[in-house]
Amino acid sequence: MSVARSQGGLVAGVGRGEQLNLRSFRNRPALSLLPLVPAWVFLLLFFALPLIFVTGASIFDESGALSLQNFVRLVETPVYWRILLNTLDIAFWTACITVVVGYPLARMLASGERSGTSFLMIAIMVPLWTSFLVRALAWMLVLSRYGVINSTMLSLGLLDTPARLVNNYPAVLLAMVHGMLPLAVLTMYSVMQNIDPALSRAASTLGARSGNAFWRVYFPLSLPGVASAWLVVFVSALGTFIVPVLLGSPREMMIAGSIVEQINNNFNWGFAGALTVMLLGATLLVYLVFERTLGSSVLSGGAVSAATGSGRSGRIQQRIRPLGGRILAFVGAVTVHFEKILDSILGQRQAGSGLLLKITAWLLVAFLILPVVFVIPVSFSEDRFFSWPPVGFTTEWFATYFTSTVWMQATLNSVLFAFVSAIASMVIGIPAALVLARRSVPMRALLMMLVLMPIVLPNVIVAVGLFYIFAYVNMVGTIWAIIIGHTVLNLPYVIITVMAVLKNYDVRLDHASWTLGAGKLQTFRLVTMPILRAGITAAFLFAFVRSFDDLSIVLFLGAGQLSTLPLQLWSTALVGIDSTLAAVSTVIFGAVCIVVIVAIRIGSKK
Amino acid sequence: MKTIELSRRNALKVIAGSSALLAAPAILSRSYAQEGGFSVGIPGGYEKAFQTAFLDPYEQEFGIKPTPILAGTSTVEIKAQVETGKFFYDVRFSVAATGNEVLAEAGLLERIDDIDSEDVQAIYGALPEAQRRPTFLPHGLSAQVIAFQDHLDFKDYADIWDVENLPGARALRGQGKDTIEAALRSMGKRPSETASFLANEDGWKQVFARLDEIKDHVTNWWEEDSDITRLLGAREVDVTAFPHHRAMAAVQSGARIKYNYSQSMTTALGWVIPKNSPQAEAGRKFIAFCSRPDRIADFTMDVPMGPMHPDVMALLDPAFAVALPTHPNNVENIESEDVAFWHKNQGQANERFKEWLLG
Repeated sequence: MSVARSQGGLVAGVGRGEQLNLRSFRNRPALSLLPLVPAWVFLLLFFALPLIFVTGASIFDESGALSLQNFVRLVETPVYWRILLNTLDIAFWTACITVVVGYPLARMLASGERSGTSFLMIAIMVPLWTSFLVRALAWMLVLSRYGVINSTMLSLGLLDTPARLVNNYPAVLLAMVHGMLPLAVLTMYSVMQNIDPALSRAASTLGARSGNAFWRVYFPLSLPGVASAWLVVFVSALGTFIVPVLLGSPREMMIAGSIVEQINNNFNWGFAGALTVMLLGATLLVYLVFERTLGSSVLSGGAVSAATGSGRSGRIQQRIRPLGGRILAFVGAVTVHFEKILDSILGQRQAGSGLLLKITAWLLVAFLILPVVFVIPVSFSEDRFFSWPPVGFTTEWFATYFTSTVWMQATLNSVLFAFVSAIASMVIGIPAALVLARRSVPMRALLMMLVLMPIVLPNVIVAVGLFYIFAYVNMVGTIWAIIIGHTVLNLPYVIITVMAVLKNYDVRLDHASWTLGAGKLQTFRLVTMPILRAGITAAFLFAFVRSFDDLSIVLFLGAGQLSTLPLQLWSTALVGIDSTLAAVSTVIFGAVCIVVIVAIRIGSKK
Repeated sequence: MKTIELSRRNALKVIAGSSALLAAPAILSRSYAQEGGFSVGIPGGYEKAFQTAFLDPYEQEFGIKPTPILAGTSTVEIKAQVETGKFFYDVRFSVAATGNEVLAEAGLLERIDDIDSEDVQAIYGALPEAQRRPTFLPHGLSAQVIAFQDHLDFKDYADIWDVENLPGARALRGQGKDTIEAALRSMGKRPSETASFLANEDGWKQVFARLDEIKDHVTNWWEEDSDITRLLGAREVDVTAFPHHRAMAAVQSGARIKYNYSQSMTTALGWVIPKNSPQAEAGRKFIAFCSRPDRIADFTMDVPMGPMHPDVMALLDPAFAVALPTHPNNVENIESEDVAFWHKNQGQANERFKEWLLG
């Protein structure tokens, strides 16, 4: 009941719990910020410092003298500004579409209907676990000249010549949204899971039609999830470069590709540093706009600043909030109107919208899972070029994978690094998220920016920078170097996901627990943790997968002596012409299905 | 509550298991089994060929087993090693000639042209004066070939530009250097004429005007060799220009494509030793060993780059050798890229090219 009341309070205006909480900590502000320290120090030491090493090269000219020539050239070359705009445009629309499309899926997952939940989970897990390279190739398989769609249409006589479906803007967006959906869905799901269903029922009891109950009660409560999902997808999309190269046309060029190009093809380290600074600057700008308008009010801290009336963001949000309420009321009214029309057609309440939600969800499931499913027959194809339709039948690619100790060792290494770095980032990240979400923190925007930056940058930048740091302390080529590198990449996902879940968390539950005699740790273990479970699981998954997909960190910090699955895939695909890539993807597909089904079986038995 | 207990206990077990592995001190840091051990940086994909052609025979002969290290595609790796003094390889195989230009200019490489070996000197001797570099010993040549689906016929670069008579999906590399050179070929310019033709703005304008003619007919602007190989093999692309050894491998893997060496521009790939490498001496000895004709011949059979040692061709199966760019039949058609020109102009040319692509 108390959860419900505090959430109600939040919607109406300011959570009383937060006010109370603020007062109790105001006396000891320094102490309350203590949990931030590990994350802060970690990111400063292993991210900010290395970054200075890399971007530092940008303020020197070829002769090694201090110079602004790289930045002058950057400002004077319009092509990079156009590429930057492209990048922002693609990332923005990817984030918007992903969040809108992912919302019904997250809602379905959160509604906890038994039927179909495991299938839904599989659909979300499959693209999440599929390597970015395989995902891009899968889309090429579907969309290309003689791909799945075209060859089907041609054989059915629906087309005379193949349609041009790939190497354009829509193809890039499609593949980006596909890759990012799991991230968005799980982030929103972990927030929605903590919304008390009694609230929606209460709204119905009080006479609200489902349209109004949704838009005026449920939706505002899910907003922290929506906002952080948008943010995570946006920053992740900023750093993409494989998808636009493989599926886009030159018009979809993105800035991360330009940075990598400067390092790999033009050997211009100084200019790569300047481009990195530009990308970070643009990210900062977008983040500040996000924070000033939507972000802090829904993600964190907003209630605090609104309550104290301090800070510009507080004032802006005070103006925005009633406006937002009015907009939602309007949307609710419109929905109810349509609902009535739908009811009169179908003659039955509920059935309409429920059916619509189901159809939408199943279409999305197909969208998520089908491209990867088409890779399965390719992994048994005798043809070596990832082409459609598959030719003959062979298990050669699976044999290559399973009989090779190199591949097996690489897989094991990947799992080990992913597991340890995911744990490490949770240990550092969760306490930081607790503070960032609940207290007013000095230099918050700066801190959040530091948290977001590792997602935005191409991994190679982080890797090169860390190499310099680790070389200094003689750690290059150790397992720890890789784990620290991966923890830098994972940490942002953990912090943002957990922050989103915490937004709806009622601190008075903690207070009640303390009153009842529980210690702080006990409260965290028995009260806080169970509520955060969905968020923490999602955070763990993101962290694990992010590490599981990395190439550059392992290549650089492992000093080339150690292989992981992505590294092995990459070096095989670089020269070799075979379909081991498809076979590995099929193996992962199977493993994900088994794990999800078993996990859900165990869960439902309990 | 029970589930949490269970999973926590399991998690602890896993952590305990893996921490045993993690606690093993510096498993990866370099510790050589024998005196004189050293490491060789090899780009991804060549490990197997490298092992059989170079590493195993070297161990047999000298009793020392060099450690193969997976090297990235970027030369930033060498810069980072030299600047920090932490070397994870002592010799690096297969750096592009333009990469050497950057690294040598920054003083990041050891001199290797004074290696006391007949074979090394034979390779240097076979090079035109203008292409000799003291820090770089070529081990093979990569030549651009015109490759197309086997039901088509493209004789030269002008044919790629002839969209009226030879329809089909074109692919070009999304990098300034390669595609500007392709346009120059289609205008009848040789690689050695690039620098003089592009010495003034007028030349650049002509090149981009030529590129304008083909832009709408290019369906794929590819980046990686592996991508275009896949696109050709899956018949997504009808014609492109890409490295000959990729084309040979694709044909061997069942791709139904043809290729020819007409107007072929070549890039040398070679050995370098990072500056101050602690095992530079061992590295030099290894380079000398790998420059023997029989070693190069062995490697060439797996990775068919054009051998640059004059004595290698005689050791190869004639039916196979005839397909290589340095075979007497093809050698008339190939010509080296202008390394010095592209070293100076690569960045700007690429920017201008990208702007053109975006426009």
